Amino acid sequence: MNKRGMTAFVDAVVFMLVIMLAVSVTVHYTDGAREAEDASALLDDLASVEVRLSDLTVLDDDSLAYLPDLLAYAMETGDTTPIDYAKDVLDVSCSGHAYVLTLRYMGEEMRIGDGDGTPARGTSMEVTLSTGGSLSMGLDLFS
Amino acid sequence: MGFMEAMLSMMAVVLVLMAYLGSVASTITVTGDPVDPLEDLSLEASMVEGMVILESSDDLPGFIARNGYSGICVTVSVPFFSSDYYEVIVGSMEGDLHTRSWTGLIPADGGRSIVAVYGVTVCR
Repeated sequence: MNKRGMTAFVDAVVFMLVIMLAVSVTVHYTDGAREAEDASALLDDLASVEVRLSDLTVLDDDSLAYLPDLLAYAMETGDTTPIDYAKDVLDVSCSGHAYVLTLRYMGEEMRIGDGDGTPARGTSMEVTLSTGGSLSMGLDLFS
Repeated sequence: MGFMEAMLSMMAVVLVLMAYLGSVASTITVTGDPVDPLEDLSLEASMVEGMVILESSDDLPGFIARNGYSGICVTVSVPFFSSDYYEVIVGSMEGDLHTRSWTGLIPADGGRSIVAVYGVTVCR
């Protein structure tokens, strides 16, 4: 490559770098308008929900239980009411944005929601259950 | 193309883009995000006998006056547990509307702790 070609090449590289800088700044501020719920706060709230057993199961028992216990119960027994509750909360709080809540318990996996592609935000946590064992919860939010 | 011409064209590009970035930055500084002040809005709700109640909130008329809004609408809903929802409107809602929503845990009958979805729409 001669001197003239080298100069043109360096010129083009600098030009592209400056263009990328301008685009990244613009995209950053445009993306800030997104209203989707923060994934971490939403998952924390879900994991901290405490309800009566009789609220979300067929059991006639008013003892209080945390939602992760009930989600594990749902995966074990097939009683879908705790799943329906989590879905209702996510439907309302994500207000039209796609999401996927992934639950893993005793080697089984369940996905709630229909998000696809690369999530805009995501988080996961491991919750120790009152009955022993643990439930892995992951939440991905999509644009 | 000589070296000097290349440098001059690069400088021209840099100057134009710097002007562009400057204008973007000044616009953001002047206008800001209309919903930013909502970060400071404190809302606390509860559910009693199936009814959603906004227990306490900041002084909403004062809040809209301080932040240059003409009105504010606050809704609180409790998915699954109540088809009822709480709504309060202060001021006028005619103009540009901006909405933000977030979740929080609220107390309910029997020592329960359930998710509520707060929705706040402000008008400017």
